[in-house]
Amino acid sequence: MRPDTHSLIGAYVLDALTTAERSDFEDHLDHCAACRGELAGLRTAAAALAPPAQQPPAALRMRVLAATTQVAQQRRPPRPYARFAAAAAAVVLTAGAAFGIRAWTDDRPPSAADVFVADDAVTHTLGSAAGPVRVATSADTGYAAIDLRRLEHPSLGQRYQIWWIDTGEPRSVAVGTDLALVPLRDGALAVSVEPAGGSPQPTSDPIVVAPIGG
Amino acid sequence: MLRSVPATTASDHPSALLRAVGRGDRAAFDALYDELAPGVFGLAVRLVRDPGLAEDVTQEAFIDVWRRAPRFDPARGSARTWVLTIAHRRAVDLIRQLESRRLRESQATAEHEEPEDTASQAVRHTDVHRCLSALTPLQREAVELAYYQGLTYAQVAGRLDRPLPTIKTRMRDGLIRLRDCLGGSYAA
Repeated sequence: MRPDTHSLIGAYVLDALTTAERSDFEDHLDHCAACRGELAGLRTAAAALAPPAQQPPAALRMRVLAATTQVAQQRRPPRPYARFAAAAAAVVLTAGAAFGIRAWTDDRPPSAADVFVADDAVTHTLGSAAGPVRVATSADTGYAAIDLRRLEHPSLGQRYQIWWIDTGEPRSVAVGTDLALVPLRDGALAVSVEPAGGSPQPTSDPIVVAPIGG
Repeated sequence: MLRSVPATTASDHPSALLRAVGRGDRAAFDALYDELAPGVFGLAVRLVRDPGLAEDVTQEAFIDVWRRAPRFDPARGSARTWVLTIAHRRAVDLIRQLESRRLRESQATAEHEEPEDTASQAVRHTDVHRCLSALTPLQREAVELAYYQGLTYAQVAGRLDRPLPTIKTRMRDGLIRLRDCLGGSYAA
């Protein structure tokens, strides 16, 4: 990490970094407890700059409330957990499976993050026009997972939609979520840009297709 | 579903609401929207300077709030700060998209100079205004150009004709001074 990265924290809080710089800085944050400590206070200061409130049109309220019924929540608290997943995935890649969390042996199904940290997880990073996409497969969990968190935000009114492709028509896996998983079998995970509510079938070419072995 | 009266009771404090939203509580989301949408919309109008686009920003920001609410950690700041942080990033991302589209579409056009913003126009809190005056002129300009106009620090450096390292340092120092000046009144 460049020694001056920390000094970018002001620009980061003001959203004055480019997308690539922002991503680099967030990687830096993962390893810098002092930065995370400083972040909260600077964000509070920046938010105090917000201009006076203004009542939005009443119709917007209905649109927002309707739109969120189509959107799944990100259940996992990502900073401790998903960042851990990223670190664990790196361990798997470089040193083999040294540890893992067998969360799927609990009485709940695994999450996508569980798949990324599974002992036997095999992860790949695929390039796309919108940024890197990570995919993990794990026979132990019986699932394949995909991670879109490094993609740029889609344009306003659009979402990334994740598809499962095998012999038939593409099947929607998730709309507007960063992490998703599917039962492990032969096929491919694909991602396309779709209108905010998602589409029954893809309306654009996939930005990435990740073959999955069963 | 529709509530005509904004939520104002103590139990509907935004941070409590946001924690409930994080557990999937839709009624809490409705109440949180009523509580914080005017602040988000005011910020969006100010940044994107178009009410229609500001509605888009507000909608996208609240969809993000819904998705990410389970991540909200009240120990790291207030719900208002958390929501405004999301909204500011959405607005800035839109400004950048529009800017790159405009650049692509009309490269021959001379650069359009935005009117300079001043904090006195922008900020309702006298505390904030007082604290902004405590910043050095360069700290203040750097913070304001980034926050209110969505410029990158490189663009700010160009606009102010200063080296990049100077600008990034001034942004951080300016925010630190603002934080320390606002002190307890804005903490978490």
